[in-house]
Amino acid sequence: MLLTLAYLTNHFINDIKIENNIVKLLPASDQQASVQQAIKTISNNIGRKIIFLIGNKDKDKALDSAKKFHSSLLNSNLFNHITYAIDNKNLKTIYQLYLPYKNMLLSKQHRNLLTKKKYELFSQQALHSLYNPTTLLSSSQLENDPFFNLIDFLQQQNALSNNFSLDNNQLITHYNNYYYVFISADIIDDIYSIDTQNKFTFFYEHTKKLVLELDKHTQVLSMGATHYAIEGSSSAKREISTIGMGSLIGIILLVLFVFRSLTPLLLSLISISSGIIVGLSCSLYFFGEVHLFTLIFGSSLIGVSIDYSFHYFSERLSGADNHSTIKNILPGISMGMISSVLAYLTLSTSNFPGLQQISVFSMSGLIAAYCCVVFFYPAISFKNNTLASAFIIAINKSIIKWWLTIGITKLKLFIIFSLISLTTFIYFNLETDDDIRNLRNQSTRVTGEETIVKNIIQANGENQFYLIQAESAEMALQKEEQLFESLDKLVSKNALEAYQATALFSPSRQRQLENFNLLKKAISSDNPSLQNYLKSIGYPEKKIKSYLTQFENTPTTTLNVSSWLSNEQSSNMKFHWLGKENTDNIYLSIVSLYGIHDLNALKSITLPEKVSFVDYVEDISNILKQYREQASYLIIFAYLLIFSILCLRYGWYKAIFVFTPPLLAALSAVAIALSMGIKINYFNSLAVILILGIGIDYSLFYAEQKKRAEFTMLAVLLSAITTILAFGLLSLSNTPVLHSFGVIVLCGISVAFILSPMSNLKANKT
Amino acid sequence: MKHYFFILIFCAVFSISSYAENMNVLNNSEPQSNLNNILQKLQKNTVLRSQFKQARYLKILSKPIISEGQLNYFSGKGIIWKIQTPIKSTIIISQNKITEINPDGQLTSRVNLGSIYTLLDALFNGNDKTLKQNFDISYNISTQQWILKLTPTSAPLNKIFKTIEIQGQQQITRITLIDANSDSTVISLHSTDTKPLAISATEEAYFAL
Repeated sequence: MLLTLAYLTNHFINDIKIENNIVKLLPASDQQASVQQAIKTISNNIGRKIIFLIGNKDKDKALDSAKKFHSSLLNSNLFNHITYAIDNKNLKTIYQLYLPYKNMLLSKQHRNLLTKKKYELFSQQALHSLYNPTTLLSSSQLENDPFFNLIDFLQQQNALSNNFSLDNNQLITHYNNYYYVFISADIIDDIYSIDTQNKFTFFYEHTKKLVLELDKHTQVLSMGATHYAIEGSSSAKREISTIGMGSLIGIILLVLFVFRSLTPLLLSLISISSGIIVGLSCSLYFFGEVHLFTLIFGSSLIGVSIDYSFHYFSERLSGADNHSTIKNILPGISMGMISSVLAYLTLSTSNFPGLQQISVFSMSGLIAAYCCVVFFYPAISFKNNTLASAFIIAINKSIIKWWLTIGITKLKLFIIFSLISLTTFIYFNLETDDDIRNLRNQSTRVTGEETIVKNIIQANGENQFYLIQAESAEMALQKEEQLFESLDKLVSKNALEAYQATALFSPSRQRQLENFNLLKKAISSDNPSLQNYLKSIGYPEKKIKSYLTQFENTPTTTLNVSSWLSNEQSSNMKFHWLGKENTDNIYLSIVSLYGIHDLNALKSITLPEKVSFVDYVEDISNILKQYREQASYLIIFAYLLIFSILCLRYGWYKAIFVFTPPLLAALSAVAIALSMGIKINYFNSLAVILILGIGIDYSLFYAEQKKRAEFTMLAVLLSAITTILAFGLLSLSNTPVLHSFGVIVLCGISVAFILSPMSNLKANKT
Repeated sequence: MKHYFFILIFCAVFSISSYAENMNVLNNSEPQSNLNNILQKLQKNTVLRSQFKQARYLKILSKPIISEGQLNYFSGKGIIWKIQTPIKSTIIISQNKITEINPDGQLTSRVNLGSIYTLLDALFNGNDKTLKQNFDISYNISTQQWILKLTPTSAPLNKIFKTIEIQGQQQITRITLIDANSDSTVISLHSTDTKPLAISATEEAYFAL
């Protein structure tokens, strides 16, 4: 106990990591390691990005506020890759990078024209650029790039830029009468760590306040996965504490009301806290982190682990001393503990990390609470106070009497009828929904702000992407270029708005040499268009000659991807290139997509070898579906396992009556949930396991009870109330997955409680 | 980067209005009333229609690059720069993008990296802060005409331009841009009119492209 406490304290000091990324609950998908790594890297990169918009109706105020925001951003040390002011130096470095390769870089349009030998048009376009007042012309630029092919290549890279323009070196846009200044940054640390979230929240709130001090009409907007992570953590914190506090307060009031003594209360709190502490420690020990879902699922442990205590106190009320109390309840609570642990154990056999965590947390917690009751409680002596309980006991007695009046045939008929009708109802009404997006807490505040930001910046990045695998960097770039051809067709058919990839910034060596040859062919062809253009604009003979000599020898060096990557200007696009950072010794890169209008068209294009379309969200949803199915088998298996153990102990006939309450409870809970419009997904199907784990306890306590059912009923009533309280509160949750989970457990436990007395009555008669 | 050129022209052209006060402070002995009249008139220009002649003098080329055409400015919308000789081309510059229409109807659009539009519009409405940040300003006013000389003080403008000179009478007549490397551009404006005030349907359609 002390050891676990020490371990836990140590962990708390080092910031417990509460994961609320649902994806982390999932097993690694069936894809190969390199693909998984690519997905992980990408979601990490994208997850870190955060965009801020500082808006004001007055442009100067917007700029001033942005300046203040930016300096606060710099001072916070939370961010890197900050995009704020774009100065001449930046533009110059990118130009310098490409300049040595100017004859090997062509835009898509220029390539097209040259491939089709439309030299006349090619020259005409150059002429147009020359007269266009928006072209920044200089002698040196014209000397380097008389056909504007380098300029055009650079222009093409900006094809994706949103509706921001450069103003005072800052990215600014005008939207709904507001001027918005754009600032983007990457959060350095893990956005799912509570520590990072706290630091970010402090920074954001503090900086907002600073900015609003300048002018209270300034708008500060932001978008990024961090906001979802924070929203998730805080709503989880809220919900865990609601459920946790709800059950705790319920337990305290109940214990005080029924047992009228402080000792049972203190003892209960000790067993609850030892359960939670041991559960947390074991999860941390085995997994290194506690997932949010584990905590929520686990906080229900309060309601379950208290059951052993209730049985102890209730049994004690019947007049037994400490020693004989434990002796009397030991078979019941032992069977209860074993069956619950078995139910959870079936969960851990799945290769689902989320399930394993939940099962480890619950099993270790339950065992700890059980041990606490069995070994620690008998050592504490206290006086019973029977005043309040007498009234409840009396009511219980009459309920038990009513149960005794029910004939065995009637009961059998009831069981058969309920089983058939519930199964039929579920069979015909079963609806499932595995879309992971529906599991997320759709905070209107966060999504609302995201929509506004997206409207302002007109970004429409998608979750889907193409993954390229190749033996060399050159091969990867070539495959990208092959893919571009199919994608360009999709863009022209409006199935897709745009795409972005490394080869657009650093074309393959093959492509660069091709471009070089295209230009060479054009300038030296019989068609005089290009040379005529040069002559017509007054390009001196000498310069024409020196331009031509550049094409005499095929260049030996081409722009390579590593020099592009090392240029600071690539930072925003770097995430496309994953390189060889994996164990499989292959090069990976991605082509990101923007504005998908026809997903099927994207899926159905012919892909170069080892290029795959990755639909991350759909993949996860498929995995969820797979695991929902697996979970249903596990649930059936768990029920069968428990049933066979019951058969071993009670014989099949009595076992049926012990087993029926949790079974009917589970079926009716699912039926009620379905009729409420709740769709079954992986997570809420787990609730059925919980109904078994808890519900079977109620039956077992009756089955194992020797003399007086009314005291058992008191214990079962108390534990049902606390459990119902906990999950009733959970059913009020904003997170859809928790809400449905709460509803199912709430219904199941209620039914299990109502039906559980039957497990003993029949046994008495046979 | 390409677009600073155009930004500058229009910063220069339309900021004069906002310099009325500033210049009075700079030089009290000048005939302010004349200048104020001119500037106030300019300030009213929500629509400006003018014939232009643009000459680019690039050291590397043996002759200047000359084009002529019509310029239409619409406050709140953008600029239509119509080249009539020696080539035919219409360039529409708006808040977000630059679109070029070739005579064969071919459209090429690109993002306006250095949007002149927000800047221009702010200047037109008398917001002179941006110019003060970026230029040293001197001027010369006679009864016949006025000349404004802007020297960029901040990067990247001072890397690109040495000076920008604006000449005018009732309206702006001439803009001279001298590059840091001694290339230069002269834009002469004539037959400047502020009527018809309204934007035509054709013009409106250009901005919808």
